[in-house]
Amino acid sequence: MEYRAVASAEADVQPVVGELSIAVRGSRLSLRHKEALAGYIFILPAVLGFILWTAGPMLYSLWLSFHSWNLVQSPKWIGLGNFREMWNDRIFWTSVRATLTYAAILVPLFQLLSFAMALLLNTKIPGIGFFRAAFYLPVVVPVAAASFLWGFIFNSEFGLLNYVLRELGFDKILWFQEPRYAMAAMVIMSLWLFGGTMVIYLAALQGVPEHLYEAAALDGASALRRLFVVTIPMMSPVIFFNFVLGVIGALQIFTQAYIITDGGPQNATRFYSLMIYQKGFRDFQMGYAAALAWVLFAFILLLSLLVFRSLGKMVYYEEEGR
Amino acid sequence: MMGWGSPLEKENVDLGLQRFEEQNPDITVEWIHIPVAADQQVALKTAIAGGTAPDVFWSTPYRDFVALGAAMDVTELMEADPVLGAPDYFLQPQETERATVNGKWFGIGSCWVAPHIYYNADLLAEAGIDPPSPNPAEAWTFDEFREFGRQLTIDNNDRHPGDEGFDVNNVRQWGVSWPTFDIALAGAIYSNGGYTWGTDYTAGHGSPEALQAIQAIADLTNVDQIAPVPAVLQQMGMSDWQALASGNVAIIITGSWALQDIAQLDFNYGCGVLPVFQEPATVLLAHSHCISSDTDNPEEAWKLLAYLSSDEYQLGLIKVGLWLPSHTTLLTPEGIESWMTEGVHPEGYDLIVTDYVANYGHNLFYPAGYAEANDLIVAALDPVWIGEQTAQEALVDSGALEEISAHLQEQQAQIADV
Repeated sequence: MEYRAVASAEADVQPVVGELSIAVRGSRLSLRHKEALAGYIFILPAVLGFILWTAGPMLYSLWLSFHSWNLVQSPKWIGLGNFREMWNDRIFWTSVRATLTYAAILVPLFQLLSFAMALLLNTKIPGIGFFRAAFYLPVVVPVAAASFLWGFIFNSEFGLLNYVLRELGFDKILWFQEPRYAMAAMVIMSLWLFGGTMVIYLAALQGVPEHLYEAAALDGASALRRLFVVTIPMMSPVIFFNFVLGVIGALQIFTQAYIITDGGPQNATRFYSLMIYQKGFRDFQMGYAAALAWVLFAFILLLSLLVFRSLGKMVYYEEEGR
Repeated sequence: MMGWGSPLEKENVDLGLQRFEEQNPDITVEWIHIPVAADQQVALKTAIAGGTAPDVFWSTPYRDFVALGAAMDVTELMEADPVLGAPDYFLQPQETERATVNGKWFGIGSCWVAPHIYYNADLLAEAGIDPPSPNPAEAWTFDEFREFGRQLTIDNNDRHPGDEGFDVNNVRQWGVSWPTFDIALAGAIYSNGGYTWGTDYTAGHGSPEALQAIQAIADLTNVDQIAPVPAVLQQMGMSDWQALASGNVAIIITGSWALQDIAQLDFNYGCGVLPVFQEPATVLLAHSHCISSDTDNPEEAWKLLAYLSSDEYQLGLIKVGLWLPSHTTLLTPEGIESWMTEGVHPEGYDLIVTDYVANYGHNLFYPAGYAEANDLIVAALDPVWIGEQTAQEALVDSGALEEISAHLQEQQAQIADV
């Protein structure tokens, strides 16, 4: 057997695992190739899964969006028919309005609440771990189960919330019977889940260098000023990240409306995802539902790009020194 | 077979299927059970779309499947069957209206269920009120219903609606609860001489009779103050019969199917027919059994369908109070004896089945496109229940009914060629 040390032709030199090539009967399986092959095999399940269950169906649904399909008979080509129908569909516009309203109210409140709580919980007093865990707990409760419970809490006659209001001397609120209160209830139910984002902010807070605070304090900055000139700028990447994710998530709200209100009252909670579900699975219009889904996708994509171009410019990245 | 049902219901269906398999040793039935009807509908549509439709499926609004060609025409099999083909086997004319499309049999009904009154006997006795009767000839008028409801509505200071100082925000016992979902509301509308969904694919909600009935139900909460806001007892986490058992409400209107659950709760209850607007009336409905047009086993599927339409199968679920009979054989004195169960069916319940249902029960017609049409009605009526709009404003002035009619016309065109 011949051993040949082959000098690497490429610029990067790996000192230990170099280009040691062992000639074995005519096949040259270098260590680097072997590692690459192993890598591909390991990611194969994930990639296959993505192709089979995400990319593939997405492409199918794109194809479907140009057809009319009632689930029983074969899909029929109708070109842009679904998109034309969407334009003239009263429920479509109602749904867009409801979803955008919800997102516009929820996202700022949610981010503010998570950030504020993270600031509050960023102390080292004993027992702080309990609070951090307690606020995070709602995130691990299955949304469907929580929705049932919230349905009881918000019950206008026998619910917990109105009981408390009554004890305090207020009139009962018709939570899921009046449109604006139904929207408020949806926002409240979503705000309850702030713990997940709070934890991310908490982690980011702990990454802000102490010396910056000291420097600011030395220059006479108050606690509030330090928040605005040190904390927030240093955390801006994380704030931006959470904000974008928050918007994307908020626009896809579904479960609470599906379980509790079914789109009511007076279509106040007929959110976009719920409408897609109803069109596809209730009204035998799967082609239309596919078209609706792609419009949502396009909208979220455009919105995200817009946010990146606008708010993204305001983010301070330490490494880039901007 | 793909169907749904609560654990108790599933138990009884399982028993029925077991007996069927014993009688037909060469057939095995795979019972795909999905607990909630709405979820079963989604699973059914998905299965059909994927080409794996079940041979037999349950569906209450089944005409959509007929319009799309997913259900099998069983007219010939029906007429050839010695038992099912007999003209008087089913309660008529309701079954023909329910099970046929353009004169052809597609969806044979499983049973009947109908809304009626349930009352908490102790609360009525306390108030000195004679309970409503299961005999349609002795039914309360709607005005009597409102007056008794007033007497039965008590706030935390023991005052009634109409008394000085009555506090509607602190009511400890409500007199009545009349839900507003389609079935319960239809009971009121039909009693006033109106209808909801016509076999000619019209929506009857805009007629003066229907509007009057709808407004009367809304007024129970907003004017008479004898009922809680309807949605309250229809929401998650609280059922109206639990409120009845716990003494929060004295009289509820709900489906006969609730008898199975109510019988399990520990309190004294009774049943009566619905209060009368113009004439005694109730609505009848239940899920139909259909054979999939794609089935590979049409003969076996028919045998199963025939069994599901037999007295033997129906009996199990009638005994526990979930179902009402749809076969005339179970309405005879011997038939009644075979299913009346002490501890479940209160005294006189047989009158609800033999007289009320048979003579005053209207088939609740489910047109194709029902799900969407009903959703539109529900959304349009939301402001009525909280007193924000009148029924006239919400349904007629708003143009909601026009939209619904247009939708129904489309559906009618689709099903016309079946």
